[in-house]
Amino acid sequence: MSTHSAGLVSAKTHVPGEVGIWVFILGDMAIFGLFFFVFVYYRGLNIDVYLQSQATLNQNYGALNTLFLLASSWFVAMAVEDMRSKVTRLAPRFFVLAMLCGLGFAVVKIIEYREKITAGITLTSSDFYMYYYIFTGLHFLHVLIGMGVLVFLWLKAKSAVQRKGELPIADKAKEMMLIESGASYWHMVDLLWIVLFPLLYLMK
Amino acid sequence: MMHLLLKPVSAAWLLLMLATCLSWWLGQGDGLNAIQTGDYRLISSGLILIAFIKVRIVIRYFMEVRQAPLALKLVCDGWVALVCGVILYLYWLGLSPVVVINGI
Repeated sequence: MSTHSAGLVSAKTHVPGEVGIWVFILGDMAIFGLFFFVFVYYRGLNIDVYLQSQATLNQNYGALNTLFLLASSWFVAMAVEDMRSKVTRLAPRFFVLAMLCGLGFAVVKIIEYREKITAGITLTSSDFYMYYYIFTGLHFLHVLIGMGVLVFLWLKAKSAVQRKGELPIADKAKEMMLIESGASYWHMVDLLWIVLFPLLYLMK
Repeated sequence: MMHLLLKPVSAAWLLLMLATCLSWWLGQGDGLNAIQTGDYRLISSGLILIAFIKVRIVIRYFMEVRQAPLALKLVCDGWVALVCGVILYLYWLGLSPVVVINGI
C-alpha cells in the first residue's frame, strides 16, 4: 500500500527532472566517455610510465572519496523520496548530510592535491599526472557546482517544509521537477567518479 | 523514517558501498609488483566491470531511470555498454605488446 501512497510519480514512467538537464547530463557523460577512451588508449602505448606514476597515488583517498559521493547521492535520493511522500519532512536534513559528504570529498581532494604538489608532482610530471589533474580537476569543478546546486535544493526543501506543502498543484509539480533535476545532476557527478576511481587509482 | 530507509534505493546504496570496498581490496598492492603476477589483467578487467555495474545501479536507482521512458533507458544502457566495452577493448589492446614481449 505504501508504494501507492508514496507518490503518483512512481506508478508510471517519468523522467526525473527536466528534459534540458538530461540533455546536459548525457552530453557531459559523452564527453567524459571520450576522456576515458583517450586515457586508456594512451596508457596502453606507455604502460610502464603510467604504472610508475600510478604507484605514487594513494588509493585510500580515491576509495574514501567514492564512499563520500555514494553516501551523498544516497542522502539526496532520500531527500527526494521524502519530498515526494511528504510524510516525514526530513528532506532539508538529508540535503545537509549530502552537503557534508560533498564537503568531505572536497577536503580529501584538496589534501591529496596538496600532498602531490608539495612532493613536486604536477601537471607536467608525466602523461599520467597530466590526465590525473585534468580529469580530477574537471570533476572537482562539477563537485563545486554540485555543492551550489545542493545549497539551492536545501533552501527549496526548507521553504517547502515551512509552507507545509501549501502550493497550487502546478507549482508543486514544477518544484519537484526542479528538485529532481538538481538531484540527477549530483548523481551524475557521483557516476563519473565511480569510473575515474578504478581508471586512475586501481587499474594495473 | 523507516519507510524511507527501507526503499530499494537504500539496498542499492549498500550494494554500491560494498562493491567499492571490494574494488578497494582488489586494487591493493604496488602496480609494478602486481604486473609480475599475471592475473592483474583479469583483476583490472574485473575492476572496470564492477565500476560499470555500479554506474548502472546509480543510473537505475539514484537517477531513477528504471522508471523513465524506454528511450532514456536505452540511451543510458547504451552509454554503459559502449563506454565499458571500449575501455575494456583499449585496455587489452594496450596490454598485447607486453604479452608478446613476455612470451619471448
